[in-house]
Amino acid sequence: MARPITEPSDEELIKRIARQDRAAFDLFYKRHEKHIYFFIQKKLNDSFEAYDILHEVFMEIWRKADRFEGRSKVSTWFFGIAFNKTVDRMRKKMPDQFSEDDNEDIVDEEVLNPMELVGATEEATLIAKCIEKLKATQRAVVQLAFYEDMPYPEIAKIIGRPEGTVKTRIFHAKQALKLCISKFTGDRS
Amino acid sequence: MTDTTRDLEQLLPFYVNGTLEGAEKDAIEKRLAEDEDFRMELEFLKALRTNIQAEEMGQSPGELGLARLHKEINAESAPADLPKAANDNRFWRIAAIAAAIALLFSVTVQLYAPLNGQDDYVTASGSANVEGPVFQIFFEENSTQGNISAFLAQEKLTIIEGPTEIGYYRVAARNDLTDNSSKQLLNRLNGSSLIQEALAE
Repeated sequence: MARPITEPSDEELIKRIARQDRAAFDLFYKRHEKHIYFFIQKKLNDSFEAYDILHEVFMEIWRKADRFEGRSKVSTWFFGIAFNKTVDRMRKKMPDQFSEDDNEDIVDEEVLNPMELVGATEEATLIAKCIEKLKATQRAVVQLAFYEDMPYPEIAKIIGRPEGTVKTRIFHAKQALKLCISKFTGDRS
Repeated sequence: MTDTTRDLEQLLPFYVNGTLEGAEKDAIEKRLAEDEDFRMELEFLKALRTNIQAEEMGQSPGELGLARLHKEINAESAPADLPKAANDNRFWRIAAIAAAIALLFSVTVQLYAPLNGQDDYVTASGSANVEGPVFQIFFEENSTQGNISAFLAQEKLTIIEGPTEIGYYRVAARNDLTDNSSKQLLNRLNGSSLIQEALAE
């Protein structure tokens, strides 16, 4: 998320938001809204629920900016808010879909059904479909690691789990993705 | 697979995203120099990251989302204009009961009653056979189900998704409209006292 050096940093914006600076809030929203929304939407696969949660996340940023102590990066803080709100919503709506019990077994459901295979004619589509089949907990970690390019200690803070869990989760996600892709391509490597 | 191999495999994604440093990075590079299978794992993860990074983020709430936030922030920061009975517990108890009844009524109507006697009301996540333009709408919190139903019927609009928990709907015109008619409809929506704001998709 590189930006011109003349623009205020996230830390500066949060300090201004803590003083109820609307302009800083608007700039912060415009800078991060798409990333946060995409992160939530990828976990939920529901754009309308994601919209609700995005709204809640930014309201919390507005209300609690004064409590941000700068011990973590700003991105860790707001992705953590987004993650927790998304998890809460998923627990309410789909308790069986979102267990945080670290049961990382690869299950058959992670394989595409025939209709999905027909639609997945390109490699990128196939990978996207296979990512959708990951457990929500794995999908979040994959997205933070490969879309946001975050280090594992930061991801651990966001999801509120030990660093080892992050590494295990992404390892199992990779195994599940390989299995899903190989079932389609016939490549068993 | 040895524990060390597994440890290194678990670190490999973070080598690929460029966040690994120091001894961990050195250990990965040492293994990469020695192990063909490990290099293949690296290539797989690189391809995976490239694909994920290439994915378009798609449409997000954007300005509409920001406008919604402004509304709520404005409402929060406005001086409280409380009725005299604000400190009277009975007042709040009655208000809470009234709100609960209204909510129950609203949910019941949405679950069981066709909208204004029509069969083409579609609940959340549903889709309707509509041909016209689509609008995103936030209704005023005090809009009643009856008023909303009558208004949508009058404007020949069908709910295609929603409401979400914060009162967000997507509605579509039942008939195809010219650009001009669509703009006029949007103006009417934004002029309605039932609606906080409306946006054409």
